[in-house]
Amino acid sequence: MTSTAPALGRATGRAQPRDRRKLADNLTGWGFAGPATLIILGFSLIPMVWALALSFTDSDLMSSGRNVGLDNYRALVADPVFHQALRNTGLLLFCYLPASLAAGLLVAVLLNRRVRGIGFYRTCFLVPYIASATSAGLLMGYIFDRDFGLLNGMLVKVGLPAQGLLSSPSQAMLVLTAIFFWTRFGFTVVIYLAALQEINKEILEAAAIDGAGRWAVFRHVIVPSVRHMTVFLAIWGVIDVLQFFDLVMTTTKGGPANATVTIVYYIWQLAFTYFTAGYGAAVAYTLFAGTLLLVVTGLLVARRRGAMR
Amino acid sequence: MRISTVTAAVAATVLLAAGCGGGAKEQAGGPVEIVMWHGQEDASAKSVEKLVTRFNETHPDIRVKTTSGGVTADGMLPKITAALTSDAHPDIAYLYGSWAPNIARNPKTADLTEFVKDPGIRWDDFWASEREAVTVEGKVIGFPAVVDNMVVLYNAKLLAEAGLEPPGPDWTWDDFRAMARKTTDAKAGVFGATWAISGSEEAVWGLWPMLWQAGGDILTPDRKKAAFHGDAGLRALGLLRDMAITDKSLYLDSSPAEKGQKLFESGRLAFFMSGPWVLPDLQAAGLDYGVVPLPGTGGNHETISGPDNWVVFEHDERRVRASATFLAWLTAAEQQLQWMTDTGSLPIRASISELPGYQDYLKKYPGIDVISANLANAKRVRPPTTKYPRVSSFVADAIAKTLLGKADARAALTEAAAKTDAALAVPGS
Repeated sequence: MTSTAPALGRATGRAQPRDRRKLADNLTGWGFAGPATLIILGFSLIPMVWALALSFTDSDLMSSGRNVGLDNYRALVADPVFHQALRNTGLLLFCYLPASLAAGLLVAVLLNRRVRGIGFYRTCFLVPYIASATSAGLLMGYIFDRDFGLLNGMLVKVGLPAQGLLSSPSQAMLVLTAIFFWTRFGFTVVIYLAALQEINKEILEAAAIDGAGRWAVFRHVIVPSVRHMTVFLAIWGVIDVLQFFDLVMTTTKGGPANATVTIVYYIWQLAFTYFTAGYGAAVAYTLFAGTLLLVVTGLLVARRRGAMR
Repeated sequence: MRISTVTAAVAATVLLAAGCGGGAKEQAGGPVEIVMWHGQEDASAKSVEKLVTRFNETHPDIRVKTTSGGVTADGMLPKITAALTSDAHPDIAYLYGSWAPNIARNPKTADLTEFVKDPGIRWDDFWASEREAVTVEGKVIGFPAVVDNMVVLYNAKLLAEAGLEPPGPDWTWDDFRAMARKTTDAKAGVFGATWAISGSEEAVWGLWPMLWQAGGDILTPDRKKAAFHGDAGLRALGLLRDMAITDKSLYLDSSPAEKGQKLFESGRLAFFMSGPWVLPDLQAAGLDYGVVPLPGTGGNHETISGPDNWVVFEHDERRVRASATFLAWLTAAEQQLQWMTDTGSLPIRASISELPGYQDYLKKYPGIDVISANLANAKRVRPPTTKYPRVSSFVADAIAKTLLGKADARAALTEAAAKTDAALAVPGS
């Protein structure tokens, strides 16, 4: 402050036009950035702070609620449904992520060729990603129905026993994982396809001249070349899985017997079905912390291995 | 040039901020404007909008603006919660009766207790269960909107094919089980009946009348402990388990999309437990259906009803008064008969049946007379406690586990009762 004061004093003399211009530049800058800043503040940061405050109360969003300190977080530790939601979401992550990355890259390699009708094949893989979760959920509800579903109909026709599918507490989450995979797969493929097209043809040719077979090219040229996209897709996948909600809402509503309750679905139930918004906010913040931890760990590992620049 | 760009950008920012923060101003003179979120779709939305137009034409001092609220009735709760938090709430909203105890906790919920004492409103003309559903701890928070109750619909053709007579009004749960077993044909993909196992209220509300008929209850009278795991509950869930596992006559519906109704419409279910709102759809599907009250226990055919409310929220005194005046008009017998004829809803007042147009309404919806008469069998409502949604989810889990054969009725209900007792023991809310 003391150092700028004399400068300002001098500015009233000769330097005035330059400072005014600087001010005008600043204002112009804020004029452009202001609306966006306000929107981010209004729709992201303020709600986040508000939700954090909410997580220390027993608010039901109807009345103001009392301050309960860390009680919501303590309750969470002993909540069996929360544990179930963690297990369900964890199972989804464990089954979905590796499979999605491996299959995505393989299919992208297959689609990265000059074949007649390639545009059509590429479109086929992207369509499920574009379809709305509601329609996908309702459609899959009919395919994976225990008694009237298409899948069980086919199983019985070829002489296999009918499965419990969405009506079975032990199978429902796996079925949901398959549906999730189907709706997200197009995105993984498109990103990998873009990365594959970035690979310099000369490198591939050089590898071929050096005598590398198809597998060796894939293993030693293609996989390392797209690893930055693999990191991106892995992080994106983690976030996507941890936020999983829409298909649960449209296929099972968390049933049967909580077999498909995911963390975000549980948050929704707590806030809008059970009127325990404060507790819901505590679960949401725990999820936020968990996601942050996973993503940051992932990024650090990737950086150490040199997969990121 | 540069200065004008800056000015424009700053002005835009300021305008944006002002636009976001613009609150509701108190109206000074002229007609009182009130806003209603009706949450209706299709024919019901058209009917309520028609009535509102008629009200605005005949009442120059009040102007009702109505929209669906941007959601259906199912989605109204999150929407109204957000609106109340940001002071953007309507004067009137359509809300399920089971939400009333929670809604009433908001200080912006209006108190119409004095208003409904006006003899012109004929408050006693509404059914008792409706008045109970819109009154929370002695405070009237709105007006009854819609009432319904649970009946059994049957597919006449499927029953005839199985060589069965349609059930009479004095049938029992054992009759229900036997008839469901006889109509089930696994090869043809036909089930006797269906039960929801999706973990939400649909799974639970059919169990309560079975429980009540046998002398049981959901909670103890002081609402501090579970009571559903007594003998009545065990027998009710045991019967359903026998149907699902021994007879395989229950289709277990794990979808939230009301698949049961579609299956019934397409002739794959012999019986369907539901309410009056499905009648227009069944007619549209051209189904040959019949309607009977629920099966009974020892001659008791008690059913369950879910009254929905028009809840009033406060802005200022004038608007609350105008809202109450409008609702008194909307829920009066003549307007209600119009609404019932348009939508197939049930009468919310006893006096409606005395109107000359009532017979035409009965003719328009075959079977509605049975459902309307069944209102007399709706004696109790679900416990008016803020914890009910939680209790319901515990019991829904117990039902799913039992019907899927993962637990027996006693173990499942005992576990649900323990969770319920724990939830009810938490003070507050």
